[in-house]
Amino acid sequence: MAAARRPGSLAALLAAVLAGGLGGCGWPPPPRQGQPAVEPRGGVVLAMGIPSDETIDTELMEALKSRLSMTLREFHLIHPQTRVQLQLYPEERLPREVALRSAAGLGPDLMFVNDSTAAALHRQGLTRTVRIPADLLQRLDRAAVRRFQTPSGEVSSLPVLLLPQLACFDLRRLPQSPTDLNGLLGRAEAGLRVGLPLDGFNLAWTFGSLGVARSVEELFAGQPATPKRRQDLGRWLAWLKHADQVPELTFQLSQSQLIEDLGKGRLDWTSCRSTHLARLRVDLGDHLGVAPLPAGPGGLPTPMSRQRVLAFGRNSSPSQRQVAQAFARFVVTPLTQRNLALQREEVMPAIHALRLPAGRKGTLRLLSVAQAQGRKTPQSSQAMFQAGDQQGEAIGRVVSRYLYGDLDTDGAIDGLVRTIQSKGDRR
Amino acid sequence: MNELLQEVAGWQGYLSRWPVVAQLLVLPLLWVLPLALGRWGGAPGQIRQRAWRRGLPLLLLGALAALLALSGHPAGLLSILTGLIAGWHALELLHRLLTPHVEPHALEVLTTRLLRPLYLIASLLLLVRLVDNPVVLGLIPLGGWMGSAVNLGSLLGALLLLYVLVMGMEPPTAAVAWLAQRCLGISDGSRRAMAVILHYAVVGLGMMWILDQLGVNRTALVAVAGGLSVGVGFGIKEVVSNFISGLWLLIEGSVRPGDVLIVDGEACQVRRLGPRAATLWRDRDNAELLIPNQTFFTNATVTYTHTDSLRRCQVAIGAAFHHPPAEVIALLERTTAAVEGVLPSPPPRAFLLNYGDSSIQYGVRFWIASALANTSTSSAVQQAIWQAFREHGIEIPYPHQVQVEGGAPSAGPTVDATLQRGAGGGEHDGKRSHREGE
Repeated sequence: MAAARRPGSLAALLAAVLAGGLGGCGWPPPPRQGQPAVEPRGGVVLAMGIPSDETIDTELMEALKSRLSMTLREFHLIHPQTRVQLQLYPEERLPREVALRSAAGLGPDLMFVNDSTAAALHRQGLTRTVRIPADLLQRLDRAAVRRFQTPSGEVSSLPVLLLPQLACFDLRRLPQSPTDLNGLLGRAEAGLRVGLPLDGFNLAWTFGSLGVARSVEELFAGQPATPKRRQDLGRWLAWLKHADQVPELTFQLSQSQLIEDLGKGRLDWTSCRSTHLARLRVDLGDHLGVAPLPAGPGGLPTPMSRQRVLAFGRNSSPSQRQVAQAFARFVVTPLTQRNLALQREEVMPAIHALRLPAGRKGTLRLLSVAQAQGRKTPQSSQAMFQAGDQQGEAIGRVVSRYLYGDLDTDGAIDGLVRTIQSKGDRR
Repeated sequence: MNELLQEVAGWQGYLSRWPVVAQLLVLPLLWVLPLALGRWGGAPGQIRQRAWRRGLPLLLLGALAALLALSGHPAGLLSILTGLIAGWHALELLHRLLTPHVEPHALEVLTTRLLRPLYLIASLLLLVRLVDNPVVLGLIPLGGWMGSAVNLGSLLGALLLLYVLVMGMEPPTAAVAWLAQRCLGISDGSRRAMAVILHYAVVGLGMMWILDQLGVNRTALVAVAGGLSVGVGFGIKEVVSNFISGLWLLIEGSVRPGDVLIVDGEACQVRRLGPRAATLWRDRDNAELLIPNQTFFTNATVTYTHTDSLRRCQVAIGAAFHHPPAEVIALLERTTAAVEGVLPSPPPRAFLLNYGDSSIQYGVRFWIASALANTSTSSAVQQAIWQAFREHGIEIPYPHQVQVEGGAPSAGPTVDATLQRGAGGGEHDGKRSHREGE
């Protein structure tokens, strides 16, 4: 009898496997457009990339949960049968982890990452494209949307937030931030403790202030290293060397170390990103001063704003896709964008036309100024760092070797040209 | 803890994905196919063999995973699970490969207590990595302990490290002790003692390091230790006493693993000196005796291996009165020296012990290298003596008991006496019973 039953159970197993295979082919089909919308139901996984200069620890996890809790709660209020599970990954490791998980069919449904990471995920085929209503896309930063848009109009990622770069300082030591580089160095010579980052991405704002941004862009575009362009790079290096010789000015490899030093009173002024404001507010309280980055003899600074986007994972089931898209649409609605900006005054919305108040102590207005500066930063300069942080780190290594005397000026210029152009060649 | 449960509950969302379900549904084939192959009469004999029954389904699933991957479908979960199960079987293979080279107990410890648990933990972490970030899961807070916040990762990490320290540090410490033996020429017993002391030292230091890593407040720890000392005085005095006794015995070197002790008149070998009790092996019946360490501390202990491992044995034998003792003694010494296992130096010595009722009692004393080989070597010596006596015509007498029943009591005394005499004595009338003795 047992032998007679066995073929039946094997057949059932095969049927299940076959059903699984069909599932992989996208069966059962998603509801057709035009059909009445079905209430999203089920749980999705939102993988969030944490910048490499941040350490994932209990404190950060709690802070992120607290920041996102309002958004998640409101989404749950609108779609009560959904659940968004947050998972954190170091940003640079995220593509590798998503690749591993996607190969098993277990990739996250949504990924909240930098635009550069989203581009890398898309290149590796780890994201899917989604059709988003045109009116919704029109409200968002057009350039950012275009980066992730296919010819058919679908997008693989949606811009959600912008993290502008600015200057953070201790009001007890400095009532107002210097408005130009000479002022900054002058203050440092007078005893102000200034910290500057040693990676290309966080230091690139000085390209504009020193008037070398155009040369960097041209080199990145693959144009030859003419004497003029080399001279510009030499001028940038000379300013860094001069700054390094000021006793109270220090270069640090890690941006997060600079933020910690400012918070603990070991520094008075440093460049920062808006996401650092939460930690600094805890450490410095009302003594935290925020300002746009200083201009210079070459013009306005070219701050590198981080664009945070929501990318769509490729393994989601039909119901998970529905929830993921509903969540993506929810976070780019004007109301949510406004709430995100006002909630902590750390981020700028992806909707340009959104009118925001000045905020407590005018922080939102300052962020808006920094965002405007960032918008003026040539797209090619931003693009130079869009494939990831490696380019910035490579530039930082050349600068470090130059400051430590391991490279002379010509050697450092050659190194910078190679680093910038290698990226230009690849792209 | 709720947070962890919520995270784990969130993973069930993956089951709404058909490719994931399909990969999981294929997996039972690993168990179904071997059963089917084993029972299917039509399968070639080779396939019915155990190795094939296990290997073939793994190969099939591997091929299926490759096929799925080539056709663009997710197959990573199936590949990883198949690989993990194959790895598990490979551990069994490793066990078999090591069997001729490693002593059974050490191999058992290595595979069952170290390799297999570590493999399971690594597999679990890999599977968790497919659905979540294990590092971030480890940050889930579990509460406070002795003034420090404890999270899931630090707790599991500490437990794992402790387990590896206790279970996995035996081979490295044994290797260090072996090196010391090679360099310093210490005895086997000292090598084993050194290995155990090193093991305890590493575990102790490791525990302190783990507590430090957990951020345990040292002041709180001292306070708890103070409280415990009162408890120790009343409740766990015996445990602590045994532990300290064990450490002291190792340091003093009076009882060490490998030593041969006499317990209840039986030679036993010390297999292991644990924190609470020593494990002794009794050759006679292959029994293992667990003896609290403090027993050795408070009672007299007879050992054959304190300064050397030689043992002197003695075999007693009787020979008839009419054989010249010098001849018998010489034969005994010659015969004993020729027996395998008897040491040539010091040489065997035979003695005339006494004049017995039916024979002259001789004793032959000889030395053996292994204290546990007394019974087997003595048996071999006695067999050799029997053979030698037979060849040389030396008689081994035995006592005879003769019971004589006489007539009526009035006619004279009833003889009911036990007469003992040497072999070859005359016969008596009446009912006789013979009893043979040694």
